[in-house]
Amino acid sequence: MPWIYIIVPSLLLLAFLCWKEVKRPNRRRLAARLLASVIAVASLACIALPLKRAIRQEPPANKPISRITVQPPPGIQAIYWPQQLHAGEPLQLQGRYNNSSANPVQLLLSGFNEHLDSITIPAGQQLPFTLNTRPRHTGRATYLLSAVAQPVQPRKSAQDTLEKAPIPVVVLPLRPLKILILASAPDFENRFLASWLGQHGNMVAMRTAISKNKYSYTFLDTARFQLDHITPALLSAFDLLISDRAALNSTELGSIRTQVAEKGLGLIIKADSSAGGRTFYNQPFPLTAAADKSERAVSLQTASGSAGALQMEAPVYIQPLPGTQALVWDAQQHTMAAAGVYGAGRLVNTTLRNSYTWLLSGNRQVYETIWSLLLQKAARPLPQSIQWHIGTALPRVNMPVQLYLETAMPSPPATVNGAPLSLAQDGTLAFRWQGTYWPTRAGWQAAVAAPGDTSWWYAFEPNDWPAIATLENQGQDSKAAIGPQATAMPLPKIYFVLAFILAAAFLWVEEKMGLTV
Amino acid sequence: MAEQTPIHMIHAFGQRWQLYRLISRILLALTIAAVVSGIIYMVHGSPWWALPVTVAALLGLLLPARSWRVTENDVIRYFNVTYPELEESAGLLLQPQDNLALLEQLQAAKIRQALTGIHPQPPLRTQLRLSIWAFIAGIMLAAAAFRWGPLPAPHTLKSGRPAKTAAINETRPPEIAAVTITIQPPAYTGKSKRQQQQLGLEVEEGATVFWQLHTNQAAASLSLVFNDSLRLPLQPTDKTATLWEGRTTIARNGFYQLQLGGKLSDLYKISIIKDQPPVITIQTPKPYTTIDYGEPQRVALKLNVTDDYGITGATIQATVASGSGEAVKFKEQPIAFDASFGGARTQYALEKSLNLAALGMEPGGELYFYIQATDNHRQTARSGVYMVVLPDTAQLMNIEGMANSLNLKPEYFRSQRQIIIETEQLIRDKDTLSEKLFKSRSNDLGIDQRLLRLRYGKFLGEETETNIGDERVSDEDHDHQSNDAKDFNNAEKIIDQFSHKHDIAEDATFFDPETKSQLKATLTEMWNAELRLRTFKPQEALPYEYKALRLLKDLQQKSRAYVAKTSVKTPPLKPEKRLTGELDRIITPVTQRGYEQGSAATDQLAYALAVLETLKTGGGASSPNLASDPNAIPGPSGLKILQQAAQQMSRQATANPARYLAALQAMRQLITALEQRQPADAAAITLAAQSIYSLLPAPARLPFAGNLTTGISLSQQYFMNLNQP
Repeated sequence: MPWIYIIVPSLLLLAFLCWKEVKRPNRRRLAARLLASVIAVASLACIALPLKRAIRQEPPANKPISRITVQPPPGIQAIYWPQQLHAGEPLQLQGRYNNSSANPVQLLLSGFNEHLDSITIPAGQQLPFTLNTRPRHTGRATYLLSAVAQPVQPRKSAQDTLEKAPIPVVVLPLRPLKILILASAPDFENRFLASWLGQHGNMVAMRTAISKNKYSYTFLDTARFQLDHITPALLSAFDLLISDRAALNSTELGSIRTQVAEKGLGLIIKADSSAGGRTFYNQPFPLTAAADKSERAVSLQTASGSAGALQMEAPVYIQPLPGTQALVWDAQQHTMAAAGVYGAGRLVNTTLRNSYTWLLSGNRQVYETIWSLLLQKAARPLPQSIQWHIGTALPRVNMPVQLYLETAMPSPPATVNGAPLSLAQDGTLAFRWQGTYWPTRAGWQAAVAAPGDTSWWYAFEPNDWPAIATLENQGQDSKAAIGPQATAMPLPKIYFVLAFILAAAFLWVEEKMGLTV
Repeated sequence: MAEQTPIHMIHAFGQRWQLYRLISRILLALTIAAVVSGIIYMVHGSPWWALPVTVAALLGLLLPARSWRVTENDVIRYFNVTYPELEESAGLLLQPQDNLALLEQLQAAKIRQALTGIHPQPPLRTQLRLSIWAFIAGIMLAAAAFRWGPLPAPHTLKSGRPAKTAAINETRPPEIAAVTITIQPPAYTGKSKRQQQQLGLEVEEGATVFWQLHTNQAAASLSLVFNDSLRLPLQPTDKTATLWEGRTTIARNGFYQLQLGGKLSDLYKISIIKDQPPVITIQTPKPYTTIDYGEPQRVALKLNVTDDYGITGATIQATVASGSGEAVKFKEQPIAFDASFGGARTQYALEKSLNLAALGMEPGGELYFYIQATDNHRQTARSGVYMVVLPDTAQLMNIEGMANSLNLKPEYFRSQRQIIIETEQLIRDKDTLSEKLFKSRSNDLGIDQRLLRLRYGKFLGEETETNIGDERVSDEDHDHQSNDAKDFNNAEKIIDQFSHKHDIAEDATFFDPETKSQLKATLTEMWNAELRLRTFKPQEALPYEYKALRLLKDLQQKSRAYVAKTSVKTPPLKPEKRLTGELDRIITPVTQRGYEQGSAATDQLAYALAVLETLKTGGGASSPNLASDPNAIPGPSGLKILQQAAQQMSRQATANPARYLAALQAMRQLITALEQRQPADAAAITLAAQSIYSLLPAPARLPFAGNLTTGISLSQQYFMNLNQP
């Protein structure tokens, strides 16, 4: 309360001044002097105090409803996390917490009786927060986000759980990718990439040119087959093709191009500085070589943050063009890997040539992060006949939940928890179906559109996420109620300055008059 | 009692004073006791410390020589000091009248009059008041301490794994009436036999455990099952078959169960206390020691050997290397310590002085040694290898490679080698020289050493009071000015004469920091040598001189560069010949490999977590991917996943029973309940899930493909129209 620091000294000053005036032997014009003192001190205080004047503004529409200003509710005001993850993906919770209490609040993410991550929100602040963990389970699990008040003095009994909410997460098992690597020369980069992919259950076939019309073949987690000639039938069995410019000859290029453009095959090209002809795969990614050819450590960044440093000699940069997305860039925003779309397929171009050194130096996590990003950007999407979307951000018990179904099936039979769900077809998008479900009990809900394919979603208790519920209600209210708005304008200080000068001048002049008389 | 005699009055006053004093002492003692007990209560939380503390405080303040007593002498002294009208004579009143002289009698009569006029206040009344206040304050402090209770104990393991090492609350099968387990620790521990009543074991490695189990009623068979695999049948020893006995030796961690008839009990842990190998800590010498010429050829070895049960022996394994080049010879010899090792003591502080000459070390030789210690379980430990080097000074003194170079040094420099030679000569001649001559020659050598030091100091940019070889300096020394007429107008010469010339700046930056630091070390040795020479101790100066010479030699060696042989010239390539070889015979290399998916076991555990989650939240699914009716117990596939997870946990529990045994028990309880189609215990689910979670490694980040709904004709039409030119 800063105003108390102004009022109290002012009162003390006023008392002192009045006492001096009363004690003065010459008691002429005592009342006037006292009044002048009061005015002087009061105006001095008003100069210091942040005074405001309320102005009533008429609303644009003539709806005479008064508006009550409300404090933002304390607690978790916003929250987001992906409810469906793939195995190995990190779980990241982001939100905003309003701590209006006098104690700091610790936000704690726990799961399986273990504390996984925590962050402390200081007293009286409203801050965004991020909590991270890597789920180890496969299938469904609920984590727990709890807000615990931290007393200033650590005493066991005083720790108070303010809020507690389940964090449901479904982790989907990975489907291995099928990857074809065509290389113009043997190198470490492809060798390490293939063995990393093979170790984790992906199918890898690699053809490496070792001399004129001589190839070395590698098959990991698959049987041998003919790789001498790349045919459309062969390509359609793969999700992804990793290659470089010299390895693609013109006869094979045609079938690869058709596969990419029409069937959605992913293509990752390892670019080098040698300027090749303009082909479909390098047209969107013009290259520039760095002026500085010396070897240096380049710190790489991705959209999810800093990835790690890589020793590079004469790096080659990709010039950003409209229609391409930068995936990996350095501290000076030079793009080192970018993705683009070609027909139905995706193209990824990378100039990283020695990422295997990460594996050699034991920096496995960075290698996996970067290559997972590049591979899954390009990989041919998995065909699904049915996809469910939950339209409500935080579904609650006994509240309507919008469910959307995307499918090519005519009139799909859908059930939720065994009860049939009536779906309405979208007017413009014929493959989109919409239905409303009222969950009757909290917990996991099973949405089934085709037998054997269950999509799980979670319904929360009515009293979970209280602050978000309050904010949602307020938002709905404020849409309806737009009343006259009172805005506060600061009062001009000049009036108080004038009053102070007048009062002080009177006191000064009065003393001089008293002397002369 | 106005007419009391002075003696009576003094006596009564003394008693009152003593009472005050006693009360204030007691109050002080109680105050101290209250405050100390309050602090102890806050720290330890036990109020019972108050009693001994109070007693101790009372005894400590009252007992020593009964310090609270007030004698008549104290009273007299007090009166004399406090009341001037008594004229320092109050002591007369106590003495019998007859003993007093006339003057004293007169004075006594006067004093007696004065004494009736004063109303003495006992001293220390203020002290009494103070102690009362202190007592009140102390009591309040103590009351506050007891009111707010003890300080919370520091949280050692606040987060992380709270329940992992939780004790297993042992439950015996109801048929077992009493258990007596006798543990005979192995002989090497030196521990005696002990008994315990609980079934969980914590024993020394190799201990013999003897079970005696009483059953309520006659049992058909009773056996122990170790780690789910090994069975130890117990033998009945009485006729009613209620007392069963069995014995085995425990050699590794794990767990065991009782099998009574066909029924298995809970799991009981077996944890092993392993014997640690001895620990050797060498205090002196350093790992690498150089003994310079002139220093005593001894190495003082000082070390500590500790073990958890006892040490049976420790030896020094010394290897002496002598000779150089291809003629290096090694001689190994064990050296025993003087101490005798009984095997009972767990710690030895050992000392040994190694005489290098006795070991047969010559200049240029090296001694490697390490310490080997054995404990009474025949476990041995070795220290690191330490090295003592005796440098060959003959190498330093030879002037090979320098013979051809011209000696351009001015003659007033003596080289370090020359100084050494002369010092040795001086030591040899010491007996034949007079003391004065000896001292003066030693001092001269010190001056030579100093000049050499100053010369090298120049390279470091050191300024000296006298610059050697500087003309100006010699001029000053000889105290004559050259009044050459042609120099009369030479301003530079005059400036030179009166200015303080710094050393050439280039000298200071000429060398790289490493060379400079070595040069500095050389100068330090020279300083030390000069100090000894100037204080007439040439014998002590010799090691420093040698060290300085060695460092100088090293510096010389450093400036020599090594140029490697250049490679041979290759003939130029013929581009037209490249890639024209015959490749028909070259076979196509094909590598095929199927990686064994080591993650299958991990995947099972990951799925088990989902099954447990289903059990907990009651979502109901036969497996995490298949839908079924809600509120159901996992079907056969879910149960199978749990059983496989339990097998993996059992393996972990064998290795680390303290951490995983409770979870394994919970998991088995869970599976049993599910097999009987009963709801599972929530606490058991939590415990099992937590332990499975901690068993799972953090998953690797792997690529995956996105999803695309197929068969949507609208999107396909859109795509086709986009592609049309």
